[in-house]
Amino acid sequence: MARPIKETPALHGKDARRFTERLSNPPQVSKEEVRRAQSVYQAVSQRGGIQCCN
Amino acid sequence: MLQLADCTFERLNGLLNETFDCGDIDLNEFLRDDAFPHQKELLAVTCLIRYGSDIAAYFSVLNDKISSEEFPSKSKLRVLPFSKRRYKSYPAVKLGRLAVASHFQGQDLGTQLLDYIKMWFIDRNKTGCRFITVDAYEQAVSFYERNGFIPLSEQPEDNHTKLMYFDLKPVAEQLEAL
Repeated sequence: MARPIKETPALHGKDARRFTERLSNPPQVSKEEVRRAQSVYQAVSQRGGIQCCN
Repeated sequence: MLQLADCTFERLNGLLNETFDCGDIDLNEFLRDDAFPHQKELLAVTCLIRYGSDIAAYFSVLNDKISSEEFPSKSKLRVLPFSKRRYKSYPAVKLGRLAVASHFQGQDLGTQLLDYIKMWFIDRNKTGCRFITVDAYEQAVSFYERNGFIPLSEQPEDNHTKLMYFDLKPVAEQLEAL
């Protein structure tokens, strides 16, 4: 049997502070990355996306 | 290089009677034994990615949240503009499993799949979903880092996995700017 999917634990202390800081200063995503993702998504969607899952 | 656009996507609709081998016993066993029972219990949804009749990859997703004890008091929260407000918890989707079959590895399929999943949850954001979380296997941590995921905790959960997350908001904002 495979390992169970673990729950995401609540963040405390340093981890919580770091997470909150990152919310204010989220990592930048380049236009190229977004265009690449958009093109993959559009190409798959044009083929019908996920059968029974859209 | 195999393009995700050349593949078909289908939702798992029964116990798997086909072989799938990604080189990792746990990922293989999850798809064979656990994915459909999880789906039947409405705990996780699994999608198969086929190239021809072969299963090239699969992923399983489920609802999740990121909660933090670090949040401002209610009185402070009220005076902040909406975009600056911080909440005790944020809705997320967990990537419970993602695997690429051995003979399709090294063709960037994993990255294309992550790109698809990110856009899927931005475009089909039916109930609100800010983050993608993943318990990355040790050997997959660099793959997720290359794809913009950040460790959620400094301490590893255990020796096998590292909890990571990806913020969908910067992608959504960049999309609007395109």
